[in-house]
Amino acid sequence: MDEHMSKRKWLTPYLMLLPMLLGLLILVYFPLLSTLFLSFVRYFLNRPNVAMQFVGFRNYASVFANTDFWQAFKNTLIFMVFSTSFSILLGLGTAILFNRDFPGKNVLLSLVLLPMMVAPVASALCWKFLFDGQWGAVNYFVQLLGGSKQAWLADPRFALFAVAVADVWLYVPFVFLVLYTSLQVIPSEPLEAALIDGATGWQIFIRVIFPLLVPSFVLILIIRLVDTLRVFDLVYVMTNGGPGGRTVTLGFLSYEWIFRHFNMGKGSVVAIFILGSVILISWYFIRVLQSQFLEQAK
Amino acid sequence: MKKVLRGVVLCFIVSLVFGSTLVFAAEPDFSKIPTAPKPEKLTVVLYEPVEQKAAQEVSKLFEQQFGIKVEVNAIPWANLHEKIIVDLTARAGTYDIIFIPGLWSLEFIYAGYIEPLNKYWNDPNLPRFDIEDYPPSIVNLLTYEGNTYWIPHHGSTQVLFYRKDLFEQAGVVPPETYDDLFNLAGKFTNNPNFPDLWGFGTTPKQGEWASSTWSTWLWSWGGEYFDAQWNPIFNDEIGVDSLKAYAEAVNKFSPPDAPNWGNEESGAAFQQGRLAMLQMWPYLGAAMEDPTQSKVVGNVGYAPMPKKVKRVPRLGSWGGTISAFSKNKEWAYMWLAFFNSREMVEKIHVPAGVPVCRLSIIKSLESQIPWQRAVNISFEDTKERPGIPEISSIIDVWGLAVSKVVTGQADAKTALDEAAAKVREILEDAGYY
Repeated sequence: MDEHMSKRKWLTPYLMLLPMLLGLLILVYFPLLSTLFLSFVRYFLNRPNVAMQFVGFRNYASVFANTDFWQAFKNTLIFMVFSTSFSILLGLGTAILFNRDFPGKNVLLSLVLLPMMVAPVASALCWKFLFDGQWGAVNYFVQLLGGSKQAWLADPRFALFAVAVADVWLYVPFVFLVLYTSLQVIPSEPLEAALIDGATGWQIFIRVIFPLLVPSFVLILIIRLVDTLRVFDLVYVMTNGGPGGRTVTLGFLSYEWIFRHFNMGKGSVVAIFILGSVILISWYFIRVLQSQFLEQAK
Repeated sequence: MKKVLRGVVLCFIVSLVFGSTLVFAAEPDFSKIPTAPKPEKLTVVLYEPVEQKAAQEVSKLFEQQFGIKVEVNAIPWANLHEKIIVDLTARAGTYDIIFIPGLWSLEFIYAGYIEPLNKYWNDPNLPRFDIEDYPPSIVNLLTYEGNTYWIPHHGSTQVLFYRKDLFEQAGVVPPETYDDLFNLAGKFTNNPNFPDLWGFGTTPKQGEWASSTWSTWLWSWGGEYFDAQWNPIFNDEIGVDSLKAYAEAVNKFSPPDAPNWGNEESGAAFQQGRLAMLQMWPYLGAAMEDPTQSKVVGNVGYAPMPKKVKRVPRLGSWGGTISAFSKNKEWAYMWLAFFNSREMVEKIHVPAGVPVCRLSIIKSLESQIPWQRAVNISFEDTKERPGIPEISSIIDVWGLAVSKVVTGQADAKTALDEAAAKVREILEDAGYY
């Protein structure tokens, strides 16, 4: 009887985890393994008469020799750096501003969080109109400031940054929320001690507040880098990869090759490349986070 | 005298009877119905929004007559191809009737996704359908090895929208040649007599849009995409000249935001009175005449696209096919024949704005539809890109090359040579050489 009970006790956590594990297996691991498998075969979804053929690393070699892939890689890197850094800077600035009491704070707080409620596709459409070369609000303000109208989404110099601005707008509230809540829980003692010691506001921020915010920063960095690495919807709606390929990102390229060209092999290689990059970025920053926690624990 | 009169009356009656037989004999006889059991429901998938309204209205009448419900699924253009292909590859048979453009012709035929329809209209137990009443240029897009795989209901060509009021004011007529087009566009651009106006617009946005409109220029210059052995030849001197001219027209006569224009954006610019001429599809004509969204109501004229060495506007076509995995093929054919019957075309398609292409009807539409004459003239020599399974990849290559040249990122020769190398690689990989 005891043995039976202990067996049941041993099984309980596994049984409770089973639904989630099954879900993960069907929704995550199976598609993941399928994508990995497809990256090694020559297979076109719209040519069922052509048999699937194992080609080893030939798809990888073909993708890495493709100029469109490297253009997309470069665009994605620029997009990642621009969007991640600006969303963090603006999110941090807003969080510091809100970290004090002022009349109407709650109403403003709701307004600042509003972009989080907007679907990326809807936001992309709004920004497409805002950046319109003729009637767009962006050009209106540029002209008010003495500048001249620009074709933001049609000019190869600006198009990628215009898409990145839409991304920054969409994700600043998320960065703000994480940093604001982190600021709220910083204990008052070290701040008071620093004030008594005669530290300036800047010194307090750099020497006291910033180190306490590092874990939140690392978390935000992971999420933002991964998000920007996969960006697809904004590009799809705002520019369709143009002008002249200047806004084609890796996420967009993967979509194009899989769902428009039905080239499952090459499209899967790009998807695997994105996944590998996500894992690498996450692994690096999680290690940083761990060492930070260990440091704090000492 | 009496005899002569009697003879004349007799001849008149005979010719009337014979004539009406000629006109109406070809109409499907819906008293013939399939022996297969009636399905509870038929499912149609189509591209929103052009034929959606017509399909829904016809389906109500079909249900009244045959007691079969019809579900019409309208899908946006961006997702239509992938949704249909995924469903067909899975052999799910979700859709009985699939509306496809001529551009997907060989992709669907080679894959065995769709049924030859001649076996249905040649079956004496089913209503016959008169496919001869359609332009061969459209029917042939989906005719392969003696079988026809569709009934086309939508056929049109790119035409030139122009501002009648401004042309009148300037004392000019629509361009006959591309040289005329350049002269006229120059006249309307940066002219203080026509403030805030640009001479010409098209759709240079990267992707299908750029490829679609440049095709008309390439063919009109006398160029071709491929030779008989599928070698890319669009990068020859003719191709390069046509792309140079296309890019020059956009850069000189269109607003700076034009390189990101697809159909919607360029149509909106014309509606707002920013353009004197626009290379566009006739289906957008209705929007030009809608006072709730257009500032140019009553002022739009429609002309055939101009000539260079010849006039070859791109052909746009849609038609109904039957899924090879449908469980209700005979009834699906009944719906297609019913949907495309002359009565439905006249009563429902035309008022719903479908650009119809039945030869016996389109001539008479010239007095009702302002752009029909331009389309009818263009039907004489119109083309579509080859509907091979690799066409989506190839169109993206062309679209990228055109966009690069229009935005000054590459010259026409370099961009087209690069595109030709990519297209060759795609076709080589697919076993064309």
